Amino acid sequence: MAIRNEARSCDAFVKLKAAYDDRKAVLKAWKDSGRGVVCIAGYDVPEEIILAAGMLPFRVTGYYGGARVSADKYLEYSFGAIWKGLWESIAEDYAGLMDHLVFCSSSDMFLKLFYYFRTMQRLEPERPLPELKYLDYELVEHVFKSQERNERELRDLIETVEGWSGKKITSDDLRAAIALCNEYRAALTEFSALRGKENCRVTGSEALVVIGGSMYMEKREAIDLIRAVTEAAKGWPAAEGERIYYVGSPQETTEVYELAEANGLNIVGEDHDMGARMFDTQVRTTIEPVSALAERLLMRMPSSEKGSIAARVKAIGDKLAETGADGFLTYMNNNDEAYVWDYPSIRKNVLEPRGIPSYTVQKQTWPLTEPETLSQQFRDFAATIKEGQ
Amino acid sequence: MAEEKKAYETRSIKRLEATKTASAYQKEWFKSLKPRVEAGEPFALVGADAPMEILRAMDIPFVVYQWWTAICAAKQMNTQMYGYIRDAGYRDDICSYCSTAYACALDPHPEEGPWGGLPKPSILITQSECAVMGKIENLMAEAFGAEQYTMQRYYEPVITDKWWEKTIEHWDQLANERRRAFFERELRDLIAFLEQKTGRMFDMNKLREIMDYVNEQDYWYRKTRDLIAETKPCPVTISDTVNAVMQAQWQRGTKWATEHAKSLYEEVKFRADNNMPAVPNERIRLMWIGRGLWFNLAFYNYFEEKYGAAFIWSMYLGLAADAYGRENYESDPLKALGTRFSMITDFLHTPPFNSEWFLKEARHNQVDGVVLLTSENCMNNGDFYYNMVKTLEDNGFPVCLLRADPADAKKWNQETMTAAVEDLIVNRIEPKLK
Repeated sequence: MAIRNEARSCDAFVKLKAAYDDRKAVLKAWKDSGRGVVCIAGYDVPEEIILAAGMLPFRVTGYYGGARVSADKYLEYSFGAIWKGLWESIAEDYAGLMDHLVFCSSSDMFLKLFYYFRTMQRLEPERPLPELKYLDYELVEHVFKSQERNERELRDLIETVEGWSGKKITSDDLRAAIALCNEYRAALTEFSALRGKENCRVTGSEALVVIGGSMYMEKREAIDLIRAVTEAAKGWPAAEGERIYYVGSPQETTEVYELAEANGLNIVGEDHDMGARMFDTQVRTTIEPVSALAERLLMRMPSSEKGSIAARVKAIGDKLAETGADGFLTYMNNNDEAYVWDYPSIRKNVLEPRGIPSYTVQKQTWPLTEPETLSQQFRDFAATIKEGQ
Repeated sequence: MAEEKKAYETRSIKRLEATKTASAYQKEWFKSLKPRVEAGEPFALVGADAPMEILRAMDIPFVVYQWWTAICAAKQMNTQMYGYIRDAGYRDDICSYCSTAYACALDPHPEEGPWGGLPKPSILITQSECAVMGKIENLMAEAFGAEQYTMQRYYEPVITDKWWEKTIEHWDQLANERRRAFFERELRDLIAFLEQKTGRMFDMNKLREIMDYVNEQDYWYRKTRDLIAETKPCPVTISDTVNAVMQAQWQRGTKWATEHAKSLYEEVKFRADNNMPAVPNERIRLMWIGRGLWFNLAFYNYFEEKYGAAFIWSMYLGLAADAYGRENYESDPLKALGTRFSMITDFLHTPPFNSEWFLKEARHNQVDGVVLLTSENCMNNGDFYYNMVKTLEDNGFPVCLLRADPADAKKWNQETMTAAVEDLIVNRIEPKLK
């Protein structure tokens, strides 16, 4: 299981994996190309706006190359693995490579990091930090007031990006970028059908590579490669392992998925933005483009950070049905615990009525402190699901 | 539910009448609240950042649920409370500051809670500051059968240097225009919700009256804070002021609270004028940054007796002095109020607003060192302590960082925490005094 030989011998997959594995190289190459790169920290910054300005959107993820020395020095213990990794990337690993960085309110932790880096610009002016921008959406309440507010934030972003690129963004530019990104999301949706119950051809870790790798490519190339992998994967052997839906801390590498797969599980869907949530809703093309982009922010699957318990119960119920998962895994990093407060309601209203077994892993760190224990937990969970069947 | 007994003394020495008066008033107020709620009057449970003045103007009684946590902790009831949360399938070791009221909703004997227990709210007004707070508020609303109203937040795009010089007279220079307009609209939306929910009409003149009281109340707090800052040895410690201020702030904007603030000042002034130091052997003045150690307010007394180290500053009086008042509001009370309720979090938790203010207060209050309590199990915890510690220490104020849960006593280690503060006193402050 995990990433299989069939995937490793597929040219398109190999290219996606190269981008996935060395994001910094992509950032360097893009910066050297002189096209202008806008870095993104958050899950709700529309790439369409950046592409419409002729710039390249680069999603910043955590540093996984070793100890996070800077993060350990500057951040409180309440920052879990994802947030420490992000700090390390921005403050150290990508230092000097980023010119512009847009944070957004997908999680309150992004706001904290924005405030911290804004303060760092005063505290250590010699540190090579990018120009910062924050987009403060309302993502919890799905009401007109939120739509209006979010549109205003996006218009602000457009103005900012126009300043960075020196190019006026027209409605036609935005429509073209929306069409391209919709095509990209459609390609990923088609690929993800291969994680389905009837004809499961890709493993969770293979899916993470394709989804994540495609983020670090220009969209046209990404679409072509995703389609090529999709075609190839139709001929791959069935992906084995008990089918589970993953809820919890974003997985920016395949480590945890591969561990799950090595112990009898296969993650067939997830609620995080390095996986399926990233492309789960299209942008409407029949309405004014900024309005459509703002609408998507509220139409996406609610994240645990920004969704009410009731909204999460409904969304998880839908996703379990859509993916045909036979088990439900909640995996939380230390201090990344919004999920704890969703879970009993999900269990009561979705899992128990449908007879879906669940397992919760908590207080995880990076690097994993006890992979053997985690392996055993995954094995036990796989056995429980099998027994139930 | 009975109070749990601890191996160490948890009740602080109460020197001031104002502290006793505030507690007595709160108890009576609470007693009078129950029959009102039982008779069907609206009752709101609110987050600490909610604009309480709006509720007061509509005569809707309220309890701040984080303050309720403090009351339960002081009564040594919280550890048992969190057991109810655990039994319901949640974790009992995180988010304690925000989850006590939810635990009360699960308590099979709520009437045994502090002051006869928390009445059942019909309205829950929140401004969720973190992902978890929003979830707990969802659960509270469901468990109490209350209607939840969430006010939106908006980040602070502008750094205002020396914000404390603008809050009272020049509040229109705080934040940018978009943010001020945003929060004014939030207040108007809240008013509309409350009118619809309660059938009561909001009265702007009543709000003006309340804001006048708040301004006067905070005027007395400023005088008290300044008096404490300038008087050596100090006439009171935070064991005296924390409860006196926090409980009166609960009644902020009333005649009683204003008079109470004045009486607090007069009592402190009397002690200062008559050379009545709180710690007769005062050698060291300390600042306590962070939430009150509610279950163990006597913690501070040990250092007074042994080292002549007096904790003289806490955010409760400091913030009341610098952050709440809004003069010249007459033309636009809602906009003025908006700059208050939206920015308290910035002042306390957002860098560099927080660090610069703490430094200003450390200097003004002539402290020798700082104890900074960081709430161990709060997911929202993160005020950029690195920056706070560096700002204070670079300016000559050594800092001791304590990691603890201010609401739940079960993880508190009296010995370790005492040793940490002793280390600050003995190894970092005393050598400088010699």
